[in-house]
Amino acid sequence: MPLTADVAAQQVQERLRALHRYIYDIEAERGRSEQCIDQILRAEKAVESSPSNDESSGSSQQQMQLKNLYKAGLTAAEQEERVIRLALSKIYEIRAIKNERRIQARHAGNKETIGCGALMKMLLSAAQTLPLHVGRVGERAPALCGALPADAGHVARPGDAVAALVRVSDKEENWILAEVVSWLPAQGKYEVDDIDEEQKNRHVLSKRRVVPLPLMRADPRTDEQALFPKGAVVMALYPQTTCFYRAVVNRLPTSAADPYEVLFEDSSYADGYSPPERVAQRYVIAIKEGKGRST
Amino acid sequence: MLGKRMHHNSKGRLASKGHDSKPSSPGVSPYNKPAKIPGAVSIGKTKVETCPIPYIRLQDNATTLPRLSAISARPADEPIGIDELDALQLELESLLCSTALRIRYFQGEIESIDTNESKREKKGKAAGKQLQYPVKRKFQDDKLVKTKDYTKLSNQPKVPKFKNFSNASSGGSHNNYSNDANANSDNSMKLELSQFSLPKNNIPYKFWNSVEPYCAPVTLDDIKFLESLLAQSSNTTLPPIPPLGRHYSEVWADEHITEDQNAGNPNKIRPTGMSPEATSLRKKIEKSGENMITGPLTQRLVSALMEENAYEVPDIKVKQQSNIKSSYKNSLTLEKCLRKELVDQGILDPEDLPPLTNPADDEILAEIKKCQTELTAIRKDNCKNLKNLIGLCKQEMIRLNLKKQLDQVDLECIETYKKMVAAKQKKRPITKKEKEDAWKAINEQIRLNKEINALPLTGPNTS
Repeated sequence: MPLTADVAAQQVQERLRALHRYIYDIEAERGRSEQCIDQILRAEKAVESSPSNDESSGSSQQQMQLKNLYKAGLTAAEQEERVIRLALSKIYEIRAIKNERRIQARHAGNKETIGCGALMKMLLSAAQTLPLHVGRVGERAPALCGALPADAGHVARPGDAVAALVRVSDKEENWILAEVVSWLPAQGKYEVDDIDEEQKNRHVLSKRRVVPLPLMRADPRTDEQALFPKGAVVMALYPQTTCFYRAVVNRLPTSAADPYEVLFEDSSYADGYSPPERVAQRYVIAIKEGKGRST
Repeated sequence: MLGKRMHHNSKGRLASKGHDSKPSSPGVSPYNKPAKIPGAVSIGKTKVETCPIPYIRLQDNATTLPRLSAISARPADEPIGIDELDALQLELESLLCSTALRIRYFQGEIESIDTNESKREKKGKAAGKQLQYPVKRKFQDDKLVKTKDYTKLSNQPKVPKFKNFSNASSGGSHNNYSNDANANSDNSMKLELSQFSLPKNNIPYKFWNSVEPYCAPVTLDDIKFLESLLAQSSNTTLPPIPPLGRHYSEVWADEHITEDQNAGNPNKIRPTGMSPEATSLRKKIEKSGENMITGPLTQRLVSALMEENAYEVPDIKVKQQSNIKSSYKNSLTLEKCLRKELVDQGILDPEDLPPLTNPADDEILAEIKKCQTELTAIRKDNCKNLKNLIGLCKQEMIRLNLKKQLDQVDLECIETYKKMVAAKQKKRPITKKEKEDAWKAINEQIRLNKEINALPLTGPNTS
């Protein structure tokens, strides 16, 4: 549906107000949680300092008391989590609206020309503000979160970032960073735009040549399985470029905002690999059909 | 917006106390250095002990969550700027992380308390049952003894069962453990021994190999063999009774003469066959005293005539002389002539006459004839049995043929079934053609089965 600038602005404002309210709530919840935590800490100290009768720490009564405190803390934490998630969802909505506006503006003909430096900064911020998936206990990370692949029938939406295998010259093919323009169901092909030099390079590629980038980051402390393991062969965006090359994961991110450390395949080095480079989670994807060439 | 990235500080946020945030420096690379793991000892000014619970203290808001604290401090009518969203998002995400970790921590602690309590309960229960242990052990000893005997006699399968026994019955006390440990080590020893001492068991193979010729299915070759046997037995005529050869007296006489002659004339090698001198000598010998074998009638006649001194025999004798070689045949004809005469004359009735036995009939011939009759009888029997066998074999072949067809149809049925199961698994609907195929296969199966059962039994293999 056509999203005019005014409508978009209005929706954004609504959400910003809601967000503000949530933030107040968050602070209140945090206060409550902190009280619970203080109580728990005191109780834990008491248990440790008291002489232990059996092998288990503390008497049964103390344990029960501690358990109740834990339960209280748990409920408070869950409440806090709920509000934080609501706040974050508002932020994501705002971003989606803005993105939608941008795409529509582009369709209408507004061509944004971005300089190289600005492009790199944009890529960086996009990677960092990619929504983070924090899994609940027992929850499995969804598709396109971190290293997890897309579902079989997944169709990338317009505006999604993808890695596309395009023919650069007669015999050279490169995986480039691109943005989906549209999906052509009749042919089963995507129309993609090179993220660099928009509108100049519009390619129509079959689904096999298009790999969607992850839509969410994974937190290594809650969803380790959604990250590439060390030593995995991946395709990673070479820093300061918009092309993907083969690389090997050297180190996993230690926190949600941390990048991977990868070694690019490079025949110009003695051992065949470049020194470690840092690449954001968003720009590390699984190898597709063994294609992709090193520099 | 791009310049106001606050992520430099994010590394401090996730530490346990959040107090060790490093000052933001624009020169630092956009990516953060790895943040500290919650619970680790924090380098910094505070000397407070580490807190196991991951959370960000409110008092650290200003340092760790500046954007958030700034916004929360603002009144509601002051809106949030769009440019603040990035930073705010990152801060909220870090808050969410710490909350999620806290939830996990609390859940883990609650679980551990629960398990501790349950362990304590178990211990209490176990402690209350001290008196029962001696009895338990006795039982166990009995079991040990019994099963040890079993393992000596039989094979491995019993041993793991025994192991389960001892494991299941072990309680919490140390005594039981040591008992079990001994038992288990015994078990493993026995297991090893039985593995070494068992020789390879060949007897079943030998047995089945020996029975194989009897149980193997009938083949066309077998039928051909039987038919050849049948042809053989029906074709062979009994060896013909050789004609009565020369009487041994004659043969010996000849041999004697030839020997004498040879002795007399060592140089002259007489060809086989009789020389004229030999024959004349023989005549003389015959004349001298050779009794001719005559039939009973002839003998009676001769004796009767001899009494009367009427010599009619020499006439006959003369006749016979002309044909010495066929003297035995002549005796038969003489007998026959006599018979004819007597019957014609009406002196004797045909029934009174003793049966005309060939005077030359002797025991050997009788024996030969008896053997021949036996042989023919046996041959007939053989032929009958062979025909019977061949008939059975042919039926068996038909049965085997049908069985082969049935086997094939069985395989078809199984394949169709597998396809259907696979289709169900994939949640693919079963096509009409597949159903038809299945029904066809099953009906074929039923028909063949009926046919086979309708066939007459041909032996122990038929089922």
